Amino acid sequence: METYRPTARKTQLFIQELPDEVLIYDVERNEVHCLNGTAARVWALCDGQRTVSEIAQQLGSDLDPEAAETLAWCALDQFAEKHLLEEAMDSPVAQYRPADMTRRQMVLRLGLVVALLPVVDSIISPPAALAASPGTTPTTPTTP
Amino acid sequence: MPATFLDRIEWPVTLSVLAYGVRIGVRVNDPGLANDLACHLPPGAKCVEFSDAGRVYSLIVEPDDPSGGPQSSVYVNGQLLARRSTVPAVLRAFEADVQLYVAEMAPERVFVHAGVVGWRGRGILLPGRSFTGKTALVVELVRAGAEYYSDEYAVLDSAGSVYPYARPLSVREKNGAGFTKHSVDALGGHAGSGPLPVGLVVVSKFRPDREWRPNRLSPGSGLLALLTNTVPARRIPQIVMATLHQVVSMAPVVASERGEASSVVEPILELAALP
Repeated sequence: METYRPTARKTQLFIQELPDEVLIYDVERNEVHCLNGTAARVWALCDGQRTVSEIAQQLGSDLDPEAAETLAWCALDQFAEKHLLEEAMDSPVAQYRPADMTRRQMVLRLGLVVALLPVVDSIISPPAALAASPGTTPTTPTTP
Repeated sequence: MPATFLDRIEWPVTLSVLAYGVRIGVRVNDPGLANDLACHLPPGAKCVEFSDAGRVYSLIVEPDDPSGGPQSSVYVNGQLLARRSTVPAVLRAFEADVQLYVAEMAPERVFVHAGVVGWRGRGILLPGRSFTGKTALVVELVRAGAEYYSDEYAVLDSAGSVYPYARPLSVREKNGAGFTKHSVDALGGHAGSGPLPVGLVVVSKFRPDREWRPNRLSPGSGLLALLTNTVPARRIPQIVMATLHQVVSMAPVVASERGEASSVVEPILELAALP
């Protein structure tokens, strides 16, 4: 996997940067994603030039290299699942994760604090009628 | 063709209406209904010189049918929107569609489904869909001295300031059968008039017997909570994101389940008064 150089998707997205988060609106799927600080840092490093190891090295010099790489894969796993990478990825993140462990348990075992976990929260952008009260939802027009 | 069918009707009342920058046309076959129509338009709507509108409503009303059969209809651009057995019911269908259309198409405002009150010069937004107890909370805040801005939409400009959408409050009847409209005066409150910077966003849902335990959301999570209630989110996502960014940059967003509305008024107003 050292040859794998992930590229963040750039097309059909609107990106809003916040102080320690990034909001991404996927126009193709009408989905909105909120990347926390760690996920946002990994996202910014997915330039198609860096390997996953190189991305991990950028995450923090005080992190254990293996733990940093695990964090990077955790983020990439979520990006792939949410169609935020240019190319499909067969994520090898599962090889780091024993079958009986949650992602949270795995990272805790690696000695990281939960706050460092990359998290991508997502919602479906609502159609106009869905964002309105039932009492104000119009009947779909039909031809008489 | 429906347009031909409608064009054969004589329309004694023809209006061109402008609301939040959105122009609509309305025509009615009963002149006695002209005054009633005004009560069903979005707040602040003005009649303007007649001109072509992108959306034309045609209301055809007939005497109420004692047998309960559908008698009155409303069409949008020639297509049937609703057919109802009473005039008030068809007017409600008209109102619902007009308000949603204006909320989606307003050119310089972003409409978020939310209750809004003003408190000490700043707006408190209560985003949420129906059945989350939003109007009940607005009513209690107004009774406690907050200014009434809206029980339906937070109307935001590009700087993140909130404007009044002061229609009568639609208070759910105790048996859950429907809504009754109340003016803010009748509830012992008063309405705000000008734009306010947003000072607090409260994401809450009524659950009987739940305690108020507010948890501050990150700006990104707060933005998602607002966006999920934003009417033009799909039509103008870039403008919506930028506008909501302004809101969460200046206002904390807190979330909690809550019990009765009256039990959380004081803590909400205390939060809103924090510098």
